Amino acid sequence: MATAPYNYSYIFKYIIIGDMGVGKSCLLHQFTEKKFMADCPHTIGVEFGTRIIEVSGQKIKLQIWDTAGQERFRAVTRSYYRGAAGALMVYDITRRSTYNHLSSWLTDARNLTNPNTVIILIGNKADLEAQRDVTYEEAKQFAEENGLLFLEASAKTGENVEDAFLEAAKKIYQNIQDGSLDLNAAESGVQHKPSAPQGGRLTSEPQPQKEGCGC
Amino acid sequence: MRYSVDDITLFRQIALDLQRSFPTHRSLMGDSPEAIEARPSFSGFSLPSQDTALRLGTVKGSELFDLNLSKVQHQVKVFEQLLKHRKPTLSQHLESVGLLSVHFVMPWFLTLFTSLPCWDSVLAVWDFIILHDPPSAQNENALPSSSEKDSGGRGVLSRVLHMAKRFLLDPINRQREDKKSSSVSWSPASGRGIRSKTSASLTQVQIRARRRSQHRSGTVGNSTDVATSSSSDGRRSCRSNENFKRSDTGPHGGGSRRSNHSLIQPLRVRSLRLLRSNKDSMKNTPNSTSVLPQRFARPLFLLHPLLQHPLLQHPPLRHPSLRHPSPPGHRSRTGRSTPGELFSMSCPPNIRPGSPSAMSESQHSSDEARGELKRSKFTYH
Repeated sequence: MATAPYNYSYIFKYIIIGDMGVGKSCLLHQFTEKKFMADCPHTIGVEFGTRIIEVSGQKIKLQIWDTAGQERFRAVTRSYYRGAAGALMVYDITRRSTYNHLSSWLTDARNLTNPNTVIILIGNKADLEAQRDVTYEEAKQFAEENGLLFLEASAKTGENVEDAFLEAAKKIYQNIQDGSLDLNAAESGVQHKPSAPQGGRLTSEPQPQKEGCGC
Repeated sequence: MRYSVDDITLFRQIALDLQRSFPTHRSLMGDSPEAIEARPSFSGFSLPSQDTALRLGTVKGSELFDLNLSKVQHQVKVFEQLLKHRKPTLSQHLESVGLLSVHFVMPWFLTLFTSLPCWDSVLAVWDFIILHDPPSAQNENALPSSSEKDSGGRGVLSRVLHMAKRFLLDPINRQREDKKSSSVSWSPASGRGIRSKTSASLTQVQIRARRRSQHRSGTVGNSTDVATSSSSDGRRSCRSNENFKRSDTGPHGGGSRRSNHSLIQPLRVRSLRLLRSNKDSMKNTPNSTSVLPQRFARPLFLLHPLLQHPLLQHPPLRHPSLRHPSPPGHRSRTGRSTPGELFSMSCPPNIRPGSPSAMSESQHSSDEARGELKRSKFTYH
């Protein structure tokens, strides 16, 4: 059977936050499985997803924590922020209330993560253009004012979903490269793995050549 | 009758939580009248999870269901302390990979373990819960008013809870059940007998040896078509599939939405193996009566009156997003299965255990820790 070695250089922890029903779990599912899940059950607490991506020739494993958006879980959700390298803050372009709550999510994200955590704002359900309630320009401006990356995406069509995760990863990687993200700091959200075969019993591939360490 | 705003908020919450109980059980999906009717019967069932908490040795809980989750958080804290003190190795390992108890315990408690990906594991856990009568059950029954007093707007819930609790915990009901069906009769006392066998019949060495042999057979199983394996071999196919999927995870698409279950699945596989091996060993024991294997052949909880709901006779969960053509032998023509069949069914062959997480990277070291947790599940009193 074909096995790919789990040789990635970094693990980035991501969290996905936002109001209930904005499509956080669907975004994750679309990203990891490339499928749209129509009747997605409500998330309890947190669920996880992983995928290995490549940024500037480096393999990076994204460890994504998909949190419950419901207010009831808010107190618990706060424990998930710790050590996140990236945060995807999601709202629903067809529901203004989810956009209005962004500031409170942003406050949480800023307070509970480290200053270098990359936050990307995602306007989900971009396929529902007819029901749009929040304009692109408005959200773009909000993102700029708060120093966030911004994209409109659709978990249904898959539009921009990859990009959302990749853009954040690029930014984090860039931060590592220019030294603004200290990998040794506790809770940087990034683990550096010198290329070594992971899960040795699963792979018979020869050891991959060492890739240059970025730090 | 008029409802207050609080009541309505609570009812909304219940409606949400209903979806979380058995979200992937085929019978409860969709908007068919059958599904809608069935859900409330499970809402009552998913609520008394504090009995589970009790089972795991936590303090006497009141309703875990509340709007701010303070109770479940409290239970999680207790669980955390217990884990820290009783299973320090496992606890340290979880800590080292940045996983807090709340991340996995809360879904367990809030859904009474129905959040587990595999129907088999849910049944195994329920069996375990019902086999072990909580020592404080009598106290709970003796003091029903105390929980109702502080419940306020949750009167309805309390009643549902109380009813479920009575059905689940009251030994008298069980004995009635005994009389009804003599062929499958059992009592708490015999349950204890089984339990003592369970813990006595499996030494650590046996578990390890079994694990090794299972691993080999699982690897061989990769070459066979998982979908064609019969239901009697279901658990093995589940496992071989797990191996297959795990090795299948490439650099892309390796993720799984439910990959948190990669933490749970090895545990489940092993706990099932424990049940099965126990069954096997009892079959092989000349002294064992013919009744014993029968008991294990069908999940004990299905004998319970509360759970005689026809929907429970349906095939196991199948996630909508992961739906595949059904393997032959997985369900009978009528769409119903006997409890025995249900128990021996594999988990959906297409549920991906996910790519190796931070946890599975150190799988070898954590293997032991997981084994420890599994054993603890069967020895807690």
